[in-house]
Amino acid sequence: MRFRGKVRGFTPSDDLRLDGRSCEDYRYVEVETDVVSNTSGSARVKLGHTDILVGIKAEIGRPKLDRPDKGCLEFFVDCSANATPEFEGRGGEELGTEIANALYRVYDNERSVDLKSLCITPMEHCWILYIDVLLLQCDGNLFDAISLAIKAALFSTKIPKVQMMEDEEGTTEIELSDDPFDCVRLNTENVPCIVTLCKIGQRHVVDATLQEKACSVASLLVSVTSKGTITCVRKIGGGSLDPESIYEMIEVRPPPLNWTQILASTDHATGLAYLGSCGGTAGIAATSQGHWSWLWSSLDSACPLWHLWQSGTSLKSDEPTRLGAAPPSAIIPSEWWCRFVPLVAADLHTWRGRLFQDSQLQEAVSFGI
Amino acid sequence: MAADMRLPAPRKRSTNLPKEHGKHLVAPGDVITTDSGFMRGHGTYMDDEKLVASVAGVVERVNKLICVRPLKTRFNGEVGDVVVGRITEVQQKRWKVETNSRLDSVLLLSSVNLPGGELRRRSSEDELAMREYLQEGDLISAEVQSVFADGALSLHTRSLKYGKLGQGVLVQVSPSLIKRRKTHFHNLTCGASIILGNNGYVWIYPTPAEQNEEAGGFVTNTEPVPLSDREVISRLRNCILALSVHKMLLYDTSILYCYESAFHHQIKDILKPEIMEEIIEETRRRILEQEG
Repeated sequence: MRFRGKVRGFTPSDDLRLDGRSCEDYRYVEVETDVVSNTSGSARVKLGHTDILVGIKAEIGRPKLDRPDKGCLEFFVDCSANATPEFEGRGGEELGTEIANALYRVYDNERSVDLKSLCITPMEHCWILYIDVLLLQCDGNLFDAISLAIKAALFSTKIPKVQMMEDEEGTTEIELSDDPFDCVRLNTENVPCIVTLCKIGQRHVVDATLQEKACSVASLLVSVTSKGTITCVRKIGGGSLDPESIYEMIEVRPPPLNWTQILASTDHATGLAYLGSCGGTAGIAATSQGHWSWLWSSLDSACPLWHLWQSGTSLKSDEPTRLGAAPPSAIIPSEWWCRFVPLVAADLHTWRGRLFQDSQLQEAVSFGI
Repeated sequence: MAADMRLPAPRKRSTNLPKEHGKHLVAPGDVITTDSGFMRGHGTYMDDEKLVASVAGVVERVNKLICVRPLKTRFNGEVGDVVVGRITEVQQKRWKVETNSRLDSVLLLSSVNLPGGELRRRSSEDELAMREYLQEGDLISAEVQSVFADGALSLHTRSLKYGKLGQGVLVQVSPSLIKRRKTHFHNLTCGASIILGNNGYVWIYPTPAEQNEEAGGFVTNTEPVPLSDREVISRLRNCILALSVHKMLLYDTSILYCYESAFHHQIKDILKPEIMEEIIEETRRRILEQEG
């Protein structure tokens, strides 16, 4: 039943929610793997009253045409009618497709699941993992629970070892070993987990219940790996989010910023450019005659945070919240990566359209220092 | 940031529960009696010559009538019950209130206290201004005045203690867990007030500083609630949820004992299974001591 949520008295100084949690606490989670016997991997996650069951089946199929040497993941989300009366009949289909699309986006990353290991013969055979998510009970915070369940299920997935045998006629046959325990496990270290941040009043909360969700105007869905790499940022909900608050939400625990200085090469406009990384997020800030601009960040290109800086907003260099307290120095971060984001900057127009690959930037770094 | 992950554990059955003497518990399909001289009431059906239960509950026998009172059921209201409900619709001359029963309850315009006097005649202007008093989504506390033929309840708020509810927390439990008492409005000593609706809706709110009798039931206080009050209310809410998970009867004494047992735990830890069991054990022990 829909009821209007009114928020009063949710002052920033208090950190107390309805059930006594702070804004950044999760409810207790129960995780169980290998619950479904005839799957390659499965998991069940209970987060408060939210109950998610994930089953993974590994099948041999043809790889996609644009990725001939990689396997793939196929998601299907089923909102069972037992979860809430709204899912009766076809009511749950819309939510199911929305969640499935978000999952495709989150896990479509080279670094999260090693898809190359799922390849058997390039262009011919590969393992396709069909990941089925079943919503048994709905009590808010679906995305977090689903990502936890998928990570646990991938951890427990056993893929049988295959051997390609050549016949006398030249046809290839695939042979699976007879031993059921002779299988390959996936490396799930870098599989991302989704964190949903709901904005209520002036604060954001993590792991919102259904009641808290009814009071929030918009939420931010961030999928992050254990190393701090962000794979997807998505905004859900009808309300609007101030770019300042998005930055505040993502920086839930700001790690220290390490900056590396690179010098602009001659085909760029005047000024110095700084490449920095904050956890796994990298960014380029440039200065031209004392005006700073944040040109590019490795978040999703559709992220509204990027649009804040797109218009060339000036950024003062003594703002500790943005650039970190440490002055730019020649510290090279141990792990950073870059993605292509079209650059639009009023005074540094020649940076537009530049594609940064790992190797290129490493060259630039070693060249500059 | 705290995230507690664990493997699921089987729920423990309490071994030192007092034996319930004389309570005939049945499950659906259980044979109650094979004696054909009984009239069958609610929750039973005839299967061949046997009287079989159709719901899970307690068998009640009144002379020749046998019925089964279910443990988990919708609220069946009786005259005089105090309920906490939510307005779902505003219709001509009445409001529809959701009270966890089979049909939405009805609150007639003539059954509420309007400012300007008790016995004022309800005019058409009152009808048009209904939405200013109670809107969809508002919570009210009311008393059951009568029961319609189809089972719908007719509510009234004709006393100053009933009316629209302001800031507070609503907890929904099963109606069978609310013990029938003389009064359902309590000002607990721990610093909050509570309304135990017979329909399973429990309303926890900060104790009003002074009892303003003139305002009537429709003015709500929207001042921010101080943090200390909110902590008490959150703790009470978790205690009530803990009691309902362990199927203990809810009344002011049991809630107070549970609050005192839970006082030295952190509020968010009360809902963790092992801490919940510890608190409930102590509460059960204290209640037995007090009764026995």
